[in-house]
Amino acid sequence: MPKLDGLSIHIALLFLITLLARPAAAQSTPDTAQATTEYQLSLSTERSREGYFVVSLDQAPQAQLTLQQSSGKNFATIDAEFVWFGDFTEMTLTGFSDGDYFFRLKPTAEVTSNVVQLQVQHYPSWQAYGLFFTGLVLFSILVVTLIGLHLRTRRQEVA
Amino acid sequence: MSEASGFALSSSLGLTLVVLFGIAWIAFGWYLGRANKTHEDFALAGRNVGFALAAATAMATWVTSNTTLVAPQLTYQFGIWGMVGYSFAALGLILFAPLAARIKRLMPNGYTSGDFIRLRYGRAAWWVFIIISVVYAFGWLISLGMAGGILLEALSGLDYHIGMSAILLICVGYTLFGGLRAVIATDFIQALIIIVGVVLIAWFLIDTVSLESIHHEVQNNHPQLLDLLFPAAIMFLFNNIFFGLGEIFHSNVWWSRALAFKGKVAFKAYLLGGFLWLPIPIVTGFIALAAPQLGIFPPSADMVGPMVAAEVLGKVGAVVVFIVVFSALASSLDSLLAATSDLVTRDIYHKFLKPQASDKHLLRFNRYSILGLGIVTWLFCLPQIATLGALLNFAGAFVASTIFPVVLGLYQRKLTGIYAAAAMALGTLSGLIGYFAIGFYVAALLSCIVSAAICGLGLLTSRARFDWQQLNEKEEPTS
Repeated sequence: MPKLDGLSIHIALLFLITLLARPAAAQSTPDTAQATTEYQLSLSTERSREGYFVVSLDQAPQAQLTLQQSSGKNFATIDAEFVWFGDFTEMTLTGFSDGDYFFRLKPTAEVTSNVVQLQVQHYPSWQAYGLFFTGLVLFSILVVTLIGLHLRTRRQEVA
Repeated sequence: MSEASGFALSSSLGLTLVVLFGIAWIAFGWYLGRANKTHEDFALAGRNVGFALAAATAMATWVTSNTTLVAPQLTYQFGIWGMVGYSFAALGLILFAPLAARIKRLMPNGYTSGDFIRLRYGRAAWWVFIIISVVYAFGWLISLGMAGGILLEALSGLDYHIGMSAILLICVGYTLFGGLRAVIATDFIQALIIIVGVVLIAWFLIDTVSLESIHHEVQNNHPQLLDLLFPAAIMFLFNNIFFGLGEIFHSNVWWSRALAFKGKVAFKAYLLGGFLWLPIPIVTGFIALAAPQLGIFPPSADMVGPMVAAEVLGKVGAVVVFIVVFSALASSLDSLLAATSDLVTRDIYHKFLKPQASDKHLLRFNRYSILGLGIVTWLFCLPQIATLGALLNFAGAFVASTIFPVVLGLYQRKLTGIYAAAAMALGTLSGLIGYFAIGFYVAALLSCIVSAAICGLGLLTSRARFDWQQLNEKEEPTS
């Protein structure tokens, strides 16, 4: 026969231990949340005419994130990687040539994201040169007019 | 950036710098303001500003939040052309040099650009011009107030409203006490701070991140930035030039200086100011090219300059950036407050509402105008209604329409008021249509083309011969 006092103490200790224990679901939920965070990426535009655009996250980064760029939807080759700066939810990328680009966050055990697609199509050359030369002609007219009138007025004042 | 707070400066350090600057500038303004005895002293610094102060104020006033925040932004977006193209805004100061000399000769007793338009072209053109001037002045004032708040928030996390209110309070304070004399004197000190600060940042940057590594990174991952045939950048180039020319040619900020400068100083001062200004956007813009190499991809393109400087130079860099940008903002804000209040006092109050007002009365009203402008600007800045770039590009459609009417009005006797009014009104309208229908990069260009065409038509059809003596308006003696 076990001693009654000892039995009581052991039962009380076991009871206390059960109080410390948490349900399995309660233990697993935060671990799962910490394990994988799914970010939603979005772009300021689907077609950029200037080669720059803004990539946005749906929430502030919880850890160091890296944005991957590829020319293919399946990301068979990674063309460039951009480390997300600070805890900002937006990132402005720039200097892209004509083409189709795909972006996602570098997948890890903790991070996943959707894939977003961007088309860069710069303005046609005729439009750019048309405006450039129109501006150049108007500017030349202005400068020639201004200098010509100024010199003529000076000559008249001297005379 | 400091890891603890995520900001380069602590809020308390940011606030301390603002308070120290505020006390120093306001005390300086009060000290200089003791010499102001008449309205002419207050509004035009006694028309006696020498060459060194004149060149410094021309340069410092043109170094605005655009030069320190938007030049890096445009370089980040448009690459080499963004940087070089932005520096072409110096052409505004350089080409204004002959105009300034002519203004001083034709209007030795003039006060404002509004005076010129009223006397040269009459009331109809004056109304169009005043609307353009007010839209532009408020656009610029609001953008400067907003930039002060954004700068402090970006560097120290201090609430936007505190930073915005602080810069307005400081600039209104010393302009109120010292008038144009204080504005020009503080501009001189601010010009020195801007030049030394910008050179320091660029030097530290090149020392920390080599030119070769910057070039390598940009060429590999952002090739468009090095492309000299970048279409968007090519389109932006002349639009930006006409915007800058329109800003300077029409604004009373530059006219009041031309009238305040001593003797024949105006021509040399604007020329030197322009050449001193020319390299500044190149240096501030260059900072942005180092961003990819440093792994800095900012949330918004206009934050790239301060972020790179703060990242490379740490807390010291952030303090330098703060001082340089704050000086740039203050030097433009005070000038704009003084020039716009002159326009309100002289053109609207004195010439339109109360022609018999005494000199003492005008001096008092000018001070009330500065205060009123500061309060209205503060109210508009509160909700942070638009971005800096959006505000400025919109104004381009307005100001570019004034270029040809101003130039031809100063030299050509034939252009009449009706054509000048039509050129400014229809030019602005075309620029606005272009802005909304095509894009920001055609607003100023279209506005200037239409205005030039109408002015050309006016010259061809007119037989008028304007008498230049009409511009030399004599002041009626008032006590």
